[in-house]
Amino acid sequence: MKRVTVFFIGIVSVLVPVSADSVRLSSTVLTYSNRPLGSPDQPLLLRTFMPDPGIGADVLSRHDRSAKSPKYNVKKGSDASGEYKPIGGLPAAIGVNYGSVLSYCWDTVECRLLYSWNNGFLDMQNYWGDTQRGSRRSYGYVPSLVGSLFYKASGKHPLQIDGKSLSDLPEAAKFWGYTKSGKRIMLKYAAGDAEIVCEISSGSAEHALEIRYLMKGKGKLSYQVGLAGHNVKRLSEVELLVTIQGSKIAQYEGSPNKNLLKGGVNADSGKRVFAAMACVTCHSLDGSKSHGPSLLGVYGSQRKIKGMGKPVDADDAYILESIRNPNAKVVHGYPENYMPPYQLKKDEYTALLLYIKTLKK
Amino acid sequence: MNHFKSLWISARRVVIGCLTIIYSIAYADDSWKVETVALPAGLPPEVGAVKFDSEGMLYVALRRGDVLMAKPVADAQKFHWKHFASGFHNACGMEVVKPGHLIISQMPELTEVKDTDGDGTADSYRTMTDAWGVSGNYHETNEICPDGHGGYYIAVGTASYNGPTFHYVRGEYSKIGRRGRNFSGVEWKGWVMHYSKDGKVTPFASGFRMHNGIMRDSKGNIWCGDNQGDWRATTPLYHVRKGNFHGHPSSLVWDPEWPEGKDPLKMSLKEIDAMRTRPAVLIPHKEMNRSASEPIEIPTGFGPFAGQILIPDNNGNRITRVMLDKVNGEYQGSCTHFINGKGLLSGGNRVVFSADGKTLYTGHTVRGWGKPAEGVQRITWSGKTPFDVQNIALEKVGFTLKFTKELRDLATTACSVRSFRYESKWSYGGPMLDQRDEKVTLSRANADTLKIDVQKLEPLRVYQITLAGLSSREGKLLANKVFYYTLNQLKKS
Repeated sequence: MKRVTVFFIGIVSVLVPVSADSVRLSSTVLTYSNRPLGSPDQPLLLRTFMPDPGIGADVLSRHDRSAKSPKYNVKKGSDASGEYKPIGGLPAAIGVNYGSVLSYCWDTVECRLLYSWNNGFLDMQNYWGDTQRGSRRSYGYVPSLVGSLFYKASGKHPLQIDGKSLSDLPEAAKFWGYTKSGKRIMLKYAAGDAEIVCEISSGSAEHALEIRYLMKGKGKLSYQVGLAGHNVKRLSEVELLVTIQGSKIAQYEGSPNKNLLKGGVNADSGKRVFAAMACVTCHSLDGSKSHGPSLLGVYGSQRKIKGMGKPVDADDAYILESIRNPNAKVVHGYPENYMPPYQLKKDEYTALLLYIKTLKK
Repeated sequence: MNHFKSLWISARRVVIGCLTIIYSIAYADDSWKVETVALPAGLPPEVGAVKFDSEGMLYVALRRGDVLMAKPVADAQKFHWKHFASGFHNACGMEVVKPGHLIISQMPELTEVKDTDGDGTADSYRTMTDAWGVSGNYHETNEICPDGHGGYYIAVGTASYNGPTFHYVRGEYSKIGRRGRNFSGVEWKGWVMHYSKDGKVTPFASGFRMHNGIMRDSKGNIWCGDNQGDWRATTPLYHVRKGNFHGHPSSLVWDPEWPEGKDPLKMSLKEIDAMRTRPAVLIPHKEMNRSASEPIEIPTGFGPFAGQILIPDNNGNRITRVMLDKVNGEYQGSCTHFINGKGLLSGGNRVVFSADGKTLYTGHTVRGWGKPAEGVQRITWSGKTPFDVQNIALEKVGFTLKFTKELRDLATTACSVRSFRYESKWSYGGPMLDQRDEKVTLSRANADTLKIDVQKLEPLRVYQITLAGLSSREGKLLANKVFYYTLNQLKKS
């Protein structure tokens, strides 16, 4: 297993250098960063309340519906005027991230893929709280999506046993759990008299994904025909490979940031952008190696780029491109498709650049 | 010259270093040493659970989802942590089956976690049960303890009106159960469930609010604390038995026998009071413990209080010591501080003893109440017996207090007893009601025992016993001077 020394921060703006006898942990260990990420080789699996990007009632058929509830006067111990309104969220789903390549939300109640997106994962601030405030208190509790949503489930469960959708079986499919092997995550559940293993990976094209289904037990496995963008290949009597070609449905940017540019567009506000985006999770400020290159002395240096003969000058244009489109030029020794493109306000890019310029050796 | 200067700086560093170490090893009356155990820098140390395996490996579950492990070493700063498992939603209950094989309770389920290929990292995460609902409310935390027969008891906490529920919930939704301050909008919130060895899940006891901590003692009794709050005038400790209702009404909507459509919050206080099982021990929240978390029985090797119960305070830098007293076959008893301050962190959440019983590891987390107080600490018995009350027993006319050491004469000793009662209702916490000073007579029963006769003992009251000017024969001052005895029943014989 690849081990990476992880550099961390106490409270986002304070960098804690790691001493010689520092602890080596896997790269997917969760830090103070509210934007945790996995990578194509080491996916990150999070069980948390998941955001609901508008999944329909037909998909969530095994869930119950909650309702408005009368407000409660906690002093008098009786109902008060007004109502508590339910909010959007998925109570028992799983989020998986493979870096910028693929994120998906799989539900343990419906036992199916609910939606998929790329170029980002989740902003956990609503649940884990604002690290800069010290108290990690929050009231929303549902993380926000980050990235481009390109697939959303609709209709009945597309998997069928003996021609019958799992949604139409008398008993709901029952989640078994999952196993992990390297980068593979096998999601397992029981449906009728069968056991099904489902593995989701990125497809070869952008906005594409592949789902491999393997069945053990009684019945004939099939997949709903005629779903747009779906290509079903039967690998054997008990194994299907479904390729889904999605397309961009929506773009999400996580929790709205407070005005980070208070006091103007300068290196100081750039430092706040750096902290808010938790860049330090992957880019150290002290020259040490992390998931991504250190930013100490990066500006004005010569960068060796994968697939390019000559080194490239790290000038304004290079730095800005590396934030907006990080996979355009990947530095030697670092993984491709790891860093997601960051969508910032125009002045936030400028401020971040001004801050990076100050990080001289 | 420069050489001398650098030597001086080095020497000064050593001195400052030593002072820091001395400061960080604060002694609780010389009897217990509190140390902070360093976790890897940069990880939010929100500790959901702590447990040991049979080889002495300490597992620490963090609430964001990771489980770390390390073998404790002498230097609390130098544990070599490894990442064992990940992906849990608010993992707040943990038991170890064997090395590399854990049971973890998390928001949506009870999970069996295994390292099947022996590479030191978990690779199999099996859902043992998801027999309770999930409403989307942050407060619905779960905790577990073994049932002694290969199964588990699961404490399923209620939701809070400080957070919402989702449009779509897992499990059946109850509009009636959703009402109130802390509520039970989906199944089994506010219950203790039993998961038997064969995987069958059955309801065990109801009426809990946030029983953040459940324990099976060496006699097989099940104990739960709770947080002072709605229907908890103060922090309670319950002796949990099958079929009993423990006073917080919302969970009743899931009782299979409950009349359809009956709203538990519309019952009279009298009706609820008649139904409920009272706490064995009421722990005044301001004075002792605002939020009882995991109770633990003291083993031998940790000082003079073996067999008694410790309860960390999730909202204070203290641990409560409970001295049970079995009266007419039922548990009631008293409490005092075990540690109050002394470098202990607030946010006490889970506790576990090392196999030799000498060291208590404590996991801390606070989310939502002021500043984070979190991390891992350990408390080690120094071998020095404190001068303290060993035990309090109810007598027909008062109490006997046995001490850990023989007493000096009582010439300078003063004892006062004040009694009060609590009322369980919807409001958050409650005052000490009908306070009254009792007429007492102090005498010595034998070398290490005091007898306090109280003129008029009355059941369903709490008796606050305060001692002053008492010292041991060797001249040690008393470590704790205030004790609260919960008198549910008078002694019959």
